[in-house]
Amino acid sequence: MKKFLAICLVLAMVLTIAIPTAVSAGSSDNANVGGTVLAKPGLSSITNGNGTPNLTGGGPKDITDVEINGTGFSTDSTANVTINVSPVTGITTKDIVVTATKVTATFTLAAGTGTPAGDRTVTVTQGGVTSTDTVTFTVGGYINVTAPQAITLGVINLLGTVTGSSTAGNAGAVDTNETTYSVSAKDANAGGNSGHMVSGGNALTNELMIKAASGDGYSQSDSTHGITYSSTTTLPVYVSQQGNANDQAGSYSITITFTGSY
Amino acid sequence: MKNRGITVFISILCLTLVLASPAMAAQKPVTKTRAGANYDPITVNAPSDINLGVMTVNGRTPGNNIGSVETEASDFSVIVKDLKSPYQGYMINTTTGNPLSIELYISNEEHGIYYAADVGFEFDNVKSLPFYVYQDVTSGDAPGSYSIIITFTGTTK
Repeated sequence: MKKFLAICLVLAMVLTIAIPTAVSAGSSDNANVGGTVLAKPGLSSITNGNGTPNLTGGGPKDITDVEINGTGFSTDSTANVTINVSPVTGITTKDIVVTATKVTATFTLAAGTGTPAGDRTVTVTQGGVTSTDTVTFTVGGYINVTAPQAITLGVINLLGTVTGSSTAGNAGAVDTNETTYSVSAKDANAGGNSGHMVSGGNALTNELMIKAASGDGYSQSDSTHGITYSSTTTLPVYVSQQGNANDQAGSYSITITFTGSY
Repeated sequence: MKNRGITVFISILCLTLVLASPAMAAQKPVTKTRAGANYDPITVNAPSDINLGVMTVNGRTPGNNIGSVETEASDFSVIVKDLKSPYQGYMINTTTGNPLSIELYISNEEHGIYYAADVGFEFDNVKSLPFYVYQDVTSGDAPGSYSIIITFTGTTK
């Protein structure tokens, strides 16, 4: 009897102990998550398509094949390589192509003073880390002047004065990326008839007078005088021609040259 | 007669012990048998590896993939977490063995609650295992390749 009891108890214990392993099943598998933290790239130089580090203005314009040379650039498509220009005003970058030693891009310059002339500092960022090195380039200054429309004075009375102007839509214009500049307007001919309307070998006795605003006084138009516009993008012009009893009949003209500088 | 009575009583006790076992008391049908134990098998297929690519310094880099469960059980769960030690929950530099400064965060919803990978989370009774992660990297983290293994452990109940 004791033997039977012992067997039953052992059997009961075995059954009891075995129970937990019978109530569940398990399975496991792994997912690997990987990623890369990039180092800062090194920069050594920057050149434009012509091999110099200067970008000329006159925008809007694209300057292709600007090359930033260095080391440690990432070609991983997730590196999000960006070019940082400071001051960035007026300059955007696009078409960035990356190799391990060079970042090539197109720099787009906004028109006029949207891209001020001056030096720029460039860094490169990849994967959120920005180069400690910098390279620099210069945006060159430029000024393009469009002269006012031609003025026809009609008949000049020998003892009278005729006037004419080109204003508003007929005025001249300036395109520049400089903030401080000037435009002179005068007869570029420095000879004896400078400032005088001429017809063949003949010149009118009196000099053509010129001014930039209706309220201004007239100035002589010869090569040593003329008028000057200061940092304005529109160039209205007013002229006045006085006849003289000694003037020969004929068709007279003069060319007034508008010259921009900064 | 006395001995017989004791024998019957003990036999009843043995049967009672057997019938009282939870496994035997379960109402669901037993469909599989392995190594003498009865249970519903479960197979967990972890999501494919997730390559976060370049992880943005001072930024957050996300990734995701989908795993699955195969089982006939009606009541099961899958626990998702990093099991390693030390640096549990952290991506480890594959060269130096150093961890990133911030843990990997994981979730079953892209816009849901994210849990530190050492804590993890649990799927209950779902056979699709959407898995979302993100890793924040600080400027103090060293450049290099990092990785972490997230274990998906399934259990039937």
